[in-house]
Amino acid sequence: MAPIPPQLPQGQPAVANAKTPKQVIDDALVEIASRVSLTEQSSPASHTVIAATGFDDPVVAESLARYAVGFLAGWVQNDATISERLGVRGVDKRDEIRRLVDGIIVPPDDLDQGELTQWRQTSRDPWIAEVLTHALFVIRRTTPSDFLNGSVVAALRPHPVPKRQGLDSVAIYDENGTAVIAVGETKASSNHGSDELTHACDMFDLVDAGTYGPDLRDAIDQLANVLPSHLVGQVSDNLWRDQRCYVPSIIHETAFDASRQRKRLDDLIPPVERKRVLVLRLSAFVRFFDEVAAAMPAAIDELVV
Amino acid sequence: MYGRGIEELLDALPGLGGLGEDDVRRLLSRAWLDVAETRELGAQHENHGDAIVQLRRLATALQIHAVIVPGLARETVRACSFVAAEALDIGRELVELDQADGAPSAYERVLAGLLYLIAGFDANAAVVVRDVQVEANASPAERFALESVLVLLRGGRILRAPAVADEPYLHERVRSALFHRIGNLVTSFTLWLRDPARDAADEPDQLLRLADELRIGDGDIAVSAHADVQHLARVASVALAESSQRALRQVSAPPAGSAIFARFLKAQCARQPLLWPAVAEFAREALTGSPTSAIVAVPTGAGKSGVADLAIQHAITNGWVIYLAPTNALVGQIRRQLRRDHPGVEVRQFLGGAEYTSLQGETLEDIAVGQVLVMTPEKCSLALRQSPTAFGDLSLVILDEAHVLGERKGRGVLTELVLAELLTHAEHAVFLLMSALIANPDDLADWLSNVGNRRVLVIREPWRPTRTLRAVVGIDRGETQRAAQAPGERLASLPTRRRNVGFDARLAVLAGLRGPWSTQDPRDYAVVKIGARTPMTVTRPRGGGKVSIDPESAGVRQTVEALAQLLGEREQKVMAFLTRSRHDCFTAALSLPGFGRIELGATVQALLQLAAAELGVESLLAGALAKGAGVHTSALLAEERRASEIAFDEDDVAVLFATGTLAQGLNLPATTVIVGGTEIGYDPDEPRAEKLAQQRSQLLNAIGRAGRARVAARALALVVPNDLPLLDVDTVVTGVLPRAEFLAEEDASTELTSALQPLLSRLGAETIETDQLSTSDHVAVSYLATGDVAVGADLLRKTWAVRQIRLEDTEPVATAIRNLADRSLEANGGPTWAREAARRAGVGLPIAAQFASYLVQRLADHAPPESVEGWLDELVMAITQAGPTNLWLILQRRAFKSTKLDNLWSDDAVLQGQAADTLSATLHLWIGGATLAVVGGAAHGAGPIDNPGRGQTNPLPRTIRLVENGIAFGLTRAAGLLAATLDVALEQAAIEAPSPKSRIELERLPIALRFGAANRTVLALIRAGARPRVVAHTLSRLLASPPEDADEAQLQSWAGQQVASLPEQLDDLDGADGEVELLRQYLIARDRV
Repeated sequence: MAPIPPQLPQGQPAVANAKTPKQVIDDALVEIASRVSLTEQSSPASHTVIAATGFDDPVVAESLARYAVGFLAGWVQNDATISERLGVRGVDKRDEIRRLVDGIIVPPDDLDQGELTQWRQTSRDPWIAEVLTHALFVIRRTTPSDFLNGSVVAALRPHPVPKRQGLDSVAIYDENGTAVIAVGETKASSNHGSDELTHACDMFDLVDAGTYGPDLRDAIDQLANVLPSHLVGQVSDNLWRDQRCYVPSIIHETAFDASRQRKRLDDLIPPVERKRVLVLRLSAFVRFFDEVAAAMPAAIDELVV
Repeated sequence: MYGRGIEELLDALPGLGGLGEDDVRRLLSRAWLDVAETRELGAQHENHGDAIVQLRRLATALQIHAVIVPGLARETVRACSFVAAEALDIGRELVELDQADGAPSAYERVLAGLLYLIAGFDANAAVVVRDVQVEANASPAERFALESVLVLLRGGRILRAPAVADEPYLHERVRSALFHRIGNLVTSFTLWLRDPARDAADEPDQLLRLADELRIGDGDIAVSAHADVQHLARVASVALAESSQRALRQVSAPPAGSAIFARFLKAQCARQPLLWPAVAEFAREALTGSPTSAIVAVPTGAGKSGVADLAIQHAITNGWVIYLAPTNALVGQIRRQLRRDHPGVEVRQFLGGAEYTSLQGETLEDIAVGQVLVMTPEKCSLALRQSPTAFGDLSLVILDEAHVLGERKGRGVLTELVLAELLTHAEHAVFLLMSALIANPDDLADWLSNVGNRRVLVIREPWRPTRTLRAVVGIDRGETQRAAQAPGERLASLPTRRRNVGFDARLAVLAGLRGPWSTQDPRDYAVVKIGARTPMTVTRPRGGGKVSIDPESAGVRQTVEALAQLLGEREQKVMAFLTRSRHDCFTAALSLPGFGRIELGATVQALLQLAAAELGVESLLAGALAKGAGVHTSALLAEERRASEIAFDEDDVAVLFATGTLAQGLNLPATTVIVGGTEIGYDPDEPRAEKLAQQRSQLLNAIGRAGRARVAARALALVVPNDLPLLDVDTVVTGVLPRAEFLAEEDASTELTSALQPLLSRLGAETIETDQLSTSDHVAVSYLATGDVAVGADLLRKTWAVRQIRLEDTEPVATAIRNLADRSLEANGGPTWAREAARRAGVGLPIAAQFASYLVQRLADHAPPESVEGWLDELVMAITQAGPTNLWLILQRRAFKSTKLDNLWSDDAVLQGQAADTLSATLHLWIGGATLAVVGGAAHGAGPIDNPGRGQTNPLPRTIRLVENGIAFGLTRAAGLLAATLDVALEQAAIEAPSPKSRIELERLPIALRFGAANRTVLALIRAGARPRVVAHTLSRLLASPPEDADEAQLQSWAGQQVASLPEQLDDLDGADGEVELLRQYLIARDRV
């Protein structure tokens, strides 16, 4: 494991013009939003294809790194506040953030090249990919696009620890006055986008089967206070009516035909306009994730925590 | 499946996406039918994927609704919680059946338990988490939190928080700290619930604050930190808040305070700390402020005894309590429960019945404040006549199974008169009338409040802790037609003299998806095939002809047996009611294949040995119990019934065959009830309307026994109609319901009217004569025909009948009764003082007149007997002299049927004389301690019975009926009448005083007949608890005799000491083979009887 950099005293940023986690997040999202584009493509009867472009811009990778660190910091801040209330003392927030970041971007010791590649593909990159998708959900709060047919009103972010089981991301958006629960499942694979889309359907099958009901319940309960009052009352109703939107997000490099009819998607309960396959093609798959990972440690120093 | 209680709860459900309450009910019921179809009823397994998905979706949607919508009504939260819990639980059962992925985690099942708690179903909460094991990979803190909730829900030892683990990441440390906090708060709350001395803490609020802090607020960074912990804390907060409102510890203490109450509360809080709705309402409304009586009209198993417990605890601080129950079996059960649940309270059970006796110890002379006396109304009526002043300190009267007040042919009149007299003698007593079968409790409340200026609370809470799915069993049409093909062909090939060939037909059920079968909507019903078959035949007309299935060849008993076997094999607790005849129960139990050899508990074995000794032949029940089938009918000895009860209660036997009547009121809950036959017994004298009403009530009561609150939340009630329907997917309910019409009713409640009312109405309208009176009319007339008309009028004013007919002036009716009594006495040649003898003995006047004239004449010519045996001879002569005309007033002829004693009713003097001789011989054997085989043999005019059979044609069941109904009930009352006649005659100086010994021996006669012992030592031992009588007879042979000059009190004290010290002296007793062993068995069984 790479050595942990020397730590700074609590609360002191390493650089001038340091920001709070929220500021870091907001700024990063503005940067990303201004550079990417999400547009509906010609789609088959089984699903709707959304093409995401603009991610090859190096600023996007860097902003995504800051966004990721920002919400890890937010997480730590949150926990630190709870710790204090529960009487847990001795919390060093910056150290915690650094440890979280390291847990994501620093591989275990003694991996050979093959294992290192494997680790990237199964641990680091999926986590960054989830953050990316989630950033798009959050951007949809304020920036209209074809990503979803309505503005996101509440969204939860991924867990700080890679490889955790459960839903990647959950959001609620307002589709012409109807509260729709969006469930995202992100897959990152340089060359096997089509297969990964099929794998994503495994998870949506389980959502259809109600297996993820408890996860949805817990997430929505936690978001209850930020739901607009006109939507709160209809969330349960819409859950019963299967008013859900599935967003499989496929981040890849080698092109695949996302626009062909797909039975697995067709079999899922939501209507075609609520099965929105996000096709995010990178020109340099490996480089993109390396760049995001590389930029994350530096972002820690920009934070006031 | 869901009755009125749940329907009311579901009214508060939010309308989910076009899903109405009916849809919710159908969805849940159908899903559980899917469970029961495979698990209980043995149908072929099918995949239930779609149902599982729907249930999960429903549960998720309603759980979310309950927690995220601000300002929801409490009822809505409860309704959402109930349906969500129910959906989760049924869904889990389906997943288990399918062996599918996605079985809920411990966390989810704990949440389901908390949801049940929010909805007020704590027993269901305990069931849903009964076998939950927290996953091995859970952190110590998470385990502690979840297990703390489990302790709250299912009981058990309080847990200690684990040490705080040193987790590497902050969010893991925080997660641990949060779980610790939840565990500590839940544990603290559980301790508070269990320990009334512990101070309140605001655990629900603290949990809510914790949850609120974990929710994301505006401006927060929306990280999904600890969403599951947040949800657990929130749900636990609501569950704890709801529970605190139902906490037993919050019940008001008696105004005077009481160490006994504190002890009771502590023990009860540790055992069952939450009040069920009926009890909570009683505690809230009746235990504060002025003394309040109550009519408790709630379903079976909904907590009536909890109401009685609280009322008793409050009442014993300022008086004593009388607890009336209609049968001796119920009296015994209540006494056992009260002794268990009320430590420090003296609970007394009177063994005698209504028979008159002045024998010391059988009256209420030594009653004291703080005692609880459990007895039948008959015994109470006697006590009221003998010791009226003792009732001044009575502070509470409880009448269990209060619907007895409406029984025209049974105990209704007597019970009403007893209550009226209690209202007179105990002016300040609180009354508690409890029943699951009263539809008009307000009428009873109107009566009680009117006659005593009492505040009367009506509790009609429809809540039940369990749900019952009602289904009618029939023949599967399609499969039966296929199965009948081969036997049909075979029959066709046989000579034409052969008319039938048997085959096994597959059974199916038509299940109702609501509670009562009150709609004709096909969506409310479903037909499912089940894994049991019943014997049927293909038949053809005499002389040959077309072969067809005989639709009437499916027998009720055989079908019930097949179902009972199937269900018992599937680990169900089955109560199978065979309503036609008590003999069917034994036949079914003996012919059931059973469930392998069962090792019976020591108490059950002891009871069976005692029963065999009492019978004098083996008890066939032993064989039935040993293979897992119990029997509970009146054709059994009390020890045998108790053995069946214990074996069923302790899960030694899976199936209990019972007749409808006897098991009523007894706490023998089952997970499945089978009602075999839809006609109850046979009584040619009963009017059709009354019979139908009684039938309906008993059948509904029978299916109401389904449900074991702490074993299963849902139960099956299977009705096998007399005529099994053919069922297929096209079957409509209208084609089946006429075979079991009672299923359309919600519960067994019926509009009660006073059983005394018809007589009073008639007396007010016309002059009636003695021969127009029924047995119960006679009881009323003798009760009310006091020497002073004003006393009778005053008593009448307190009756429910007078209130119901709004009779303002009762004196004319009292006068009419008095005149009727006088005419009756005159017609039967009796002196006027015989009226008082009739009143004391509680019998009709004509027979009292005849006994009086016999006794006066007899004692004028003969010296009075100096022994019990001598008085017994006098009794037989009095009965013989009275002749058959009025015998029905004191003896039920049915109890003597098919024995030589039936000729007591013969008009042929020779036959009657022979019957009297047989009666005398039989009774002498009975009080001499002979076995029932010997007693029964004599009654049948034969030698000892050696046939242990219990069928309709066997002598042993007839003998049990003779002893229990003919002797211990009827002839004891006749003996009581003889004793009362002597007492009153002496008071009236109509006879010369017999010697003191002669009087004591006559006082002893009724008890001697009741218990089957003439010897004063044996009788004293029986009264001291040495029962059945074979134990007392054996003991009296082995013990040194008591002092010859001991008076009754000294003798009773000696007997008490002997029985109490038996364990210590057992090994020193020198008895014949088996005698000491018999006493050993008695010691094993006696605490459970």
